[in-house]
Amino acid sequence: MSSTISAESAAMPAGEHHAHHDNRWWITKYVFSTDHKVIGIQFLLTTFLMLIIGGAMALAIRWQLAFPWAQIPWISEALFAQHGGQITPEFYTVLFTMHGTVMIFLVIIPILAGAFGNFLIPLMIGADDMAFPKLNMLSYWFMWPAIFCFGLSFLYEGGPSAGWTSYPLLAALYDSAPGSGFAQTLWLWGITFTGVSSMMGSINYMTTIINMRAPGMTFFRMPLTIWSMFITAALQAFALPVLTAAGLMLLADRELGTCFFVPAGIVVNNAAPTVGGGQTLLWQHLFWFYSHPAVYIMLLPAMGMVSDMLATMCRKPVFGYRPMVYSMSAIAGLGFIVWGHHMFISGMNPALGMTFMVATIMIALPSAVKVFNWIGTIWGGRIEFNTVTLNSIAFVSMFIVGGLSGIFMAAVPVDIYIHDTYFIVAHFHYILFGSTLFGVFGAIQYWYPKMFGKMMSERLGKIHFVLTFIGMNGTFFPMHMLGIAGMPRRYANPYLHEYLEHLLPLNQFMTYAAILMAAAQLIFFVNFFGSLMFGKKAGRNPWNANTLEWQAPSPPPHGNFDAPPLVYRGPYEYSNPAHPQADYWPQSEPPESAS
Amino acid sequence: MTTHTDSPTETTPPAGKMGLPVPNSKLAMWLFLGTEVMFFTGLIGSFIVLRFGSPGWPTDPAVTHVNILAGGINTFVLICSSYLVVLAHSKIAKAKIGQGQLALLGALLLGFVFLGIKSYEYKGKFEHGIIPGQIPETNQQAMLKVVDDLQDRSDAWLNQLVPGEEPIPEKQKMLQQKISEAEGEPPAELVAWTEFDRARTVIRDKVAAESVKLGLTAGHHGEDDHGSEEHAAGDSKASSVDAALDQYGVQGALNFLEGKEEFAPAVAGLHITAPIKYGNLFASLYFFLTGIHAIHVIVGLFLFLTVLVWGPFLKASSATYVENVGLYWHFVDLVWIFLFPLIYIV
Amino acid sequence: MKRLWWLLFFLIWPVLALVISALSPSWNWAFPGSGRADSPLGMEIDHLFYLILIIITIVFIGTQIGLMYVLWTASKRDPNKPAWYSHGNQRLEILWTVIPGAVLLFIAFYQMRVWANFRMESAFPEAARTNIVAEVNARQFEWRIRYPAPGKKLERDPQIDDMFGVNVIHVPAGTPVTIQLKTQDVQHSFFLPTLRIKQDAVPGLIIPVWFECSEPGEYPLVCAELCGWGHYKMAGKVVAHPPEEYSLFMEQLHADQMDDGFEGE
Ligand code: HEA
Ligand code: HEA
Ligand code: CUA
Ligand SMILES: [Cu+2]
Repeated sequence: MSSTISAESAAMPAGEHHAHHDNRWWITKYVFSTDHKVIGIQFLLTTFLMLIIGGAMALAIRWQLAFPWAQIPWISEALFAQHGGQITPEFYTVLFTMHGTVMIFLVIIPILAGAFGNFLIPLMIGADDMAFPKLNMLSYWFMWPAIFCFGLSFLYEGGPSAGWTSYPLLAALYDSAPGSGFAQTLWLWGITFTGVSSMMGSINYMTTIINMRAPGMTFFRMPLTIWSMFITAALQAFALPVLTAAGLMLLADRELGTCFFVPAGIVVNNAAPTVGGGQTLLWQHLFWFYSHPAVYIMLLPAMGMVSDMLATMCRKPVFGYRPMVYSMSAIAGLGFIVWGHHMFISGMNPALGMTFMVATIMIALPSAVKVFNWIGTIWGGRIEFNTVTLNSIAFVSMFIVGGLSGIFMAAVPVDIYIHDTYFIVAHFHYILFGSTLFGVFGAIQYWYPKMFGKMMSERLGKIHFVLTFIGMNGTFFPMHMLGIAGMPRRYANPYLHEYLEHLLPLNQFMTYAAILMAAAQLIFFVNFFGSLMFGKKAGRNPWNANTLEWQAPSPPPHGNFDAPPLVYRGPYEYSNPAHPQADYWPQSEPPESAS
Repeated sequence: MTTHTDSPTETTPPAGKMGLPVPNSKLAMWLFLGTEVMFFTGLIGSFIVLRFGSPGWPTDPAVTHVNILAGGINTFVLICSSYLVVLAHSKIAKAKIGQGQLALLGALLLGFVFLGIKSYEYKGKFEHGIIPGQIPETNQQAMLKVVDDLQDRSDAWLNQLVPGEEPIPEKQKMLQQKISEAEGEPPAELVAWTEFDRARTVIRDKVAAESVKLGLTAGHHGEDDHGSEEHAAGDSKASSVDAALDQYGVQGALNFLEGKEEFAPAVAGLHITAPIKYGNLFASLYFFLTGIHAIHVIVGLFLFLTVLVWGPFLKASSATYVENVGLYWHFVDLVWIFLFPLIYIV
Repeated sequence: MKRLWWLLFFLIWPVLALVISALSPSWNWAFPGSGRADSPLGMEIDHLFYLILIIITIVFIGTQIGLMYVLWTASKRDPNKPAWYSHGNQRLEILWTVIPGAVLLFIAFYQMRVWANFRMESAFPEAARTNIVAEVNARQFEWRIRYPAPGKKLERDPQIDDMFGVNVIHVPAGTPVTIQLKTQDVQHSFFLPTLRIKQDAVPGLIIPVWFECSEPGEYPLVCAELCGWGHYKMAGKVVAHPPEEYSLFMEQLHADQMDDGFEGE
């Protein structure tokens, strides 16, 4: 890429950033900061920590599946000495429960909405901060009680062991499992805290986007990243309260003797029969009413960011900007009426199964529009294969795979067979890891100069990309085959069953691939933290991009812009023949006639 | 504003402020209320699913002790307070701080009245044993509960007679020993306990054998006796527990024990919790929904206080804040208007 | 030159994925057992699976080719020439909304019949409605089976002459049979991989599940819904007897079970 440092930033002497002197106490500046950028970076670093923890759990899962009941070198002796150094089946259930929980509630959702949402929204709409900076800070600090509760529940005797979906009665009755004791209660508190945190964040984001846009930034001049954040925030705000309600009901069932999810006459572990008259399926309905929209919460922001990155990297306007916006809205809207596809064989009314199937299959349509538009964006562009581009392409490519496997599951009769097999596990890792995380890696590389004023290393970035890509496909592609071979998920030792025995070598291969993938993440962290020290200094606009954040200094000071920006055009005016001076045309650059 | 401004050739000059003509805080409050709507949609949806998914439902106020009058008064109270909040806002906006605060104080007091009536209702239910997870749903469960209660009473009495840390069976032996040691005239208390405990075992065994009826008196309906016949259970003329039990059921036996002077303290206040079919689910929903609503009321009252503490220093510029608080309060009011018919009347 | 490497990189993996997928049946990384479903309904499910697989493969190849093509052209563009300035194309948008839409609708409606057949009681095969062979009661971590005495109907509540078994379900082959599925404690799921049957057992509900074993033989039964630490070991099997042997077998079972071991007379 011809990335000459843009004329503007070259003309701006470095010292000038400190025009308005900022002498806040370091605690208010970096710890209890109300600055959206600091909060965003706090979210980012926290989720890195959580990614390592969740990833370590994933590796333990993989170890058990490759070498059932074998000791893990070095680690076993330290951790599970009392069980002969083995992962017990009880601990295995805790492992995947916490792996799913950590990855979803403490990695993907906070990294997208929390880290990038916070960092980018005010910058990209030309505001000096969020509408409610203090609320914003609170929403970060409410993560910690959640992390604390989850952590405690993991360490608590037994641990939570009902899966990240926490279906009752396993999750409702104290007697149903060793881990359904107090640990499960703590887990539910954790969920409630993440809910409060997300709720505060999402209201803040929506208010900010609706009311704080820079003059001229009409809705249809907003970058797709902002659109995606807006739609995500709406999904959070209106789906999450239902989960909070359900979580509180389950807590009451556990601790206060109510019986919303507990039918009468259930005998668990020889305990006295339950009294009550509740319905277990109600939990599933409430849980998925949130958690299906939640999977789009875990994808849409990445979609938005990838659209922006692809446009910049191809020097080309996004293909079909409005269809992109409409399809994101359609995904969000339809997302509210498809939750039943997680419950096809749960015993709910079969007629509902049909309606949910049609809705679910139709949700592929807006996704298709987006995929085609991304391809259209690259079409006729002028691309260079840098780390950002590579990760963005991987995002599109992996999303196609993960999305297409969703079609099998959306078809109810096929889902009879593949429900709760590794086919599902393949599906969601392809989307969650394959697409969202690649999008995130790309986005970090792309916005890093804005966050820290330094460039990340291209060389390390590419090595990381290649290894992650290989490791990821090696780990998750074979899961499709495991699923079709009938291997159920959440099995501590599938090889107990004759018809699954022959899958052991394949599982071992996957584990090696997973170890490769994990090792690759070390490169990423080296790159991230190393570049803080050794990175090349970045100007204001290293990518020659149009959106507003690139007009602010890198990193932007408290208050963001030198002067409140004015917006004259859409965000994707790349290679516009009407503007032959450069192949980009920043949103805030006044038209010639005006200047 | 949403015309084709994304068209590249058209570079409209930036307008002034973007967005909606409402203050951020008010917009945020509306959005927050949106999330609250979804929260209560979840709860009320669950109510509907559980209520109509249940094969039956206790609707008779005599059984559920739902107090429609109290609920109705509370509805009225909340509506009045909502009005006062509107009044407070308009006064404060017109810089009539004193009048505004007075109105808000009224709303606050009405809020407390609401909570007072609510706790009165809760108390009434607790007194009748309407507590989620503890309501017997059949006569048999009600009788088992009495058996458990009697056991507790008996143990408590024994602990009184024989203080110490020993386990109950140990104490029983110690007590027998005391009786046999006290030649001729064993202490009456000790004998009384022995008899009481024997009565208890009789009741327990007969209940376990399912060979007795509940015998609940009028006003308290069991699942099958409709409270007409067995007024007679009130007397204690039966000659023994066994006879009382056979004739008048468990209630009769209780009455018998109560009638005996020496047992009266031990069984004081002990009564049968009337069985309510589907009562646990009912109570779960009742307490959870109204409880969550009450928490919202408390939050609202707290918000009122944040305005009132300013006293005369309140500025007319706080009108937006008061308006937001008012929005919240109207919402709380509105939720009640949904909950009241749903829980009390349907 | 570097760009060729990257293009190759993005070309290789879809090719590899297709090749491996095509080869996987020969390595037994496909449907369990013989690879063919052992029940007529299972065959239909497989048919639907393969139908979707074909559509999806076409879409996959198509999108990957499209992606490769645009990457190829975009990466070899002269760095001094501007990119194609285009905000999109309405006609294309409509095209790529309508065509996938039609394909998706086709997929959706094509599934309905098999689903109804499996779960809607009105669309059950006639025999499934009459052949209610057993009640399967799941618990942590085993399957408890209750058969009615030969010649009797399965009642809701246990009868004095019922027969009981654990983890092994005996059924006649070649005819649809129904079990009443329930659970005594938490949720479980009744999964017969080779028959492609799966149904959750839900606390508080009794769910009829029908299946048909085409051939006599033994079919694995596993649990597919997390039910606690022992979820993975909740194994059982369905034993399908030839129809004529089945009733004899059940008579024998009944005789054995009623036998008190007292050899008087
Ligand atoms: C970000 C996360 C994410 C996303 C985006 C999706 C997207 C989709 N998901 Fe997925 N899903 C999960 C995360 C996600 N899912 C998770 C975590 C679970 C498991 C939860 C658990 O049980 O633990 C799950 C489970 C799950 C199930 C339940 C399976 C079961 O338990 O039995 C189903 C069933 O229908 C499903 C379907 C779909 C569909 C149809 C889409 C669609 O949105 C996909 C649409 C995209 C495409 C189809 C690709 C692009 C389109 C084209 C290239 C056009 C042409 C295509 C055609 C003509 C076919 N998902
Ligand atoms: C965003 C979501 C996300 C992400 C990123 C991942 C990432 C991974 N997941 Fe996970 N997974 C889920 C969400 C996610 N998962 C969910 C929701 C479930 C369902 C849970 C349930 O059933 O309830 C699940 C379940 C699940 C299972 C199924 C368990 C079972 O059903 O029995 C498996 C099995 O292989 C698995 C594997 C992996 C692996 C190998 C990774 C790898 O990609 C991880 C790689 C990353 C790292 C390893 C981190 C970085 C590592 C380092 C920096 C090195 C340092 C580490 C050490 C020193 C150890 N996951
Ligand atoms: Cu039973 Cu899993
Ligand atoms: Cu879903």
